[in-house]
Amino acid sequence: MSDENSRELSRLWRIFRTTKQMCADRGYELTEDECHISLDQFRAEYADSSGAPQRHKMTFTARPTTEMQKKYTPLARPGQPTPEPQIGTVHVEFNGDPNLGVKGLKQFAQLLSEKNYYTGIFVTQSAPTSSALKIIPSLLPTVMEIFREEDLLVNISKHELVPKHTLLSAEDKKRLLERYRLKETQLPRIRVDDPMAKYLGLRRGQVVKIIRKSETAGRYASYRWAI
Amino acid sequence: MASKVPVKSILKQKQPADIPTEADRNRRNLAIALHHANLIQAQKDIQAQILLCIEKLLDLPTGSEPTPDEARSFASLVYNFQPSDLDALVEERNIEGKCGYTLCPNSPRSRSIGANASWKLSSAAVDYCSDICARKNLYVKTQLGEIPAWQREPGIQAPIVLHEDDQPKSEKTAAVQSRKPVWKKTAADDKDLAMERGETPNGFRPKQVMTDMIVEKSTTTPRKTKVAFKEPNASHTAIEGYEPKSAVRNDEGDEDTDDDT
Ligand SMILES: [Zn+2]
Repeated sequence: MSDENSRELSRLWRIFRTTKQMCADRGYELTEDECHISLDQFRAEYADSSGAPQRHKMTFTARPTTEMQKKYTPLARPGQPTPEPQIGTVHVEFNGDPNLGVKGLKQFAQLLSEKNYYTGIFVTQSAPTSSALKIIPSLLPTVMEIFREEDLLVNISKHELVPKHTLLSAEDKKRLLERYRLKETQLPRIRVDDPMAKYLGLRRGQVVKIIRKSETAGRYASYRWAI
Repeated sequence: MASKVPVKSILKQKQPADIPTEADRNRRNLAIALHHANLIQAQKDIQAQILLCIEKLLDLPTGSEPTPDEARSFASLVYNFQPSDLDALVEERNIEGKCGYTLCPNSPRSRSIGANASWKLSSAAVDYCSDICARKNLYVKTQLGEIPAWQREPGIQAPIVLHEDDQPKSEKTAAVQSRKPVWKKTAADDKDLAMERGETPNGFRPKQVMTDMIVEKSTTTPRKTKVAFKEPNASHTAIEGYEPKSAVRNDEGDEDTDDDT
């Protein structure tokens, strides 16, 4: 039994670290220590006396850094000289229910709206039902993202074959399109359900810059339009 | 919807003028684009509505016995469902620890028998408290159209009739008189005809979209499609559309494995 507990504990420790790193990479305020918590520390904070991990204790929230807020601020328009940043506090929960349906997801959605969180990330042990997933678009502008635990065991952004992806601000996107005299629809595309797009929480219409290393050309950048 | 008006006016104007002008073409393209946008919107609306219906039906029955009102609302809320939507409802009810059949207050056998249930019974049977409920649910599922509700022509989907045991008194006598379940019927009855005339009180249908799609007045076209689209619904055990009673039980398992893929 304790063997199983320790295996489950180290599994959740990896998932927890990836989740925090993902939030930090998106631009939320998280310390380096938080993102690289040791297994011992994790056990001390999130395990019960038998050594089993307690998912409900792993809940956390994080605020966007000013840099992130800038990235998410739309361009000024005639009617809107100082637009609000389209980002806010993220709330992350870990759910261990063996089955996750409409009701389970609704509960999480309700908490997001009560506490006025901008984004909710739900890390689930089981796959939510297809009906439950259909709730997500109806919650907008509140953003709800679902991640399966197994998808966060490893941080894909750290894999050597995955090039660096960075989100462009609205300002940078505009400059890019002007420089190349392009319409955004002419850019190559990335689907919002692409693993890296999910990792960054890309929204439709955003542009991401991808920097690859090449033996012949050195470093080169390409751009993708999220659809 | 405001977009409907240009569609009709263009078709009428086209008859006198042989060569469509640039403006005509532009207007027609706009009308086509609007038509498709409306279809997509109708699809979104209905999908959202189906989700709401699933949520409502999750909580039935509220007491230990379904009320006649609850039975009626079950029959009317599933009207826009496709068979897969009913499967989704069964799945959601099971997660809540309820028998897959909406009017049943019991637990599914997956709970009452426990972990062994899945190898004692077929995968579909454990979702219900009993074979009776499984059959009652199949009775409803068989009536549901495979065509998504936003593509259905008016009158193609008959009102859903519940299993005899669950019909409210007055409807029950009516069903006994007709002696034929709706899904075995070959000719339209008064209800069907009223539906085609748009005289039905059932408010779910997105009339604004459907009006565009009524082209012919002839009733033979919808009748044909009805038969054609019913066919994939029928099982391999059906004989000329008639389902022998003894085959119904085997059918449950078959249908569910199909739907899982
Ligand atoms: Zn039952």
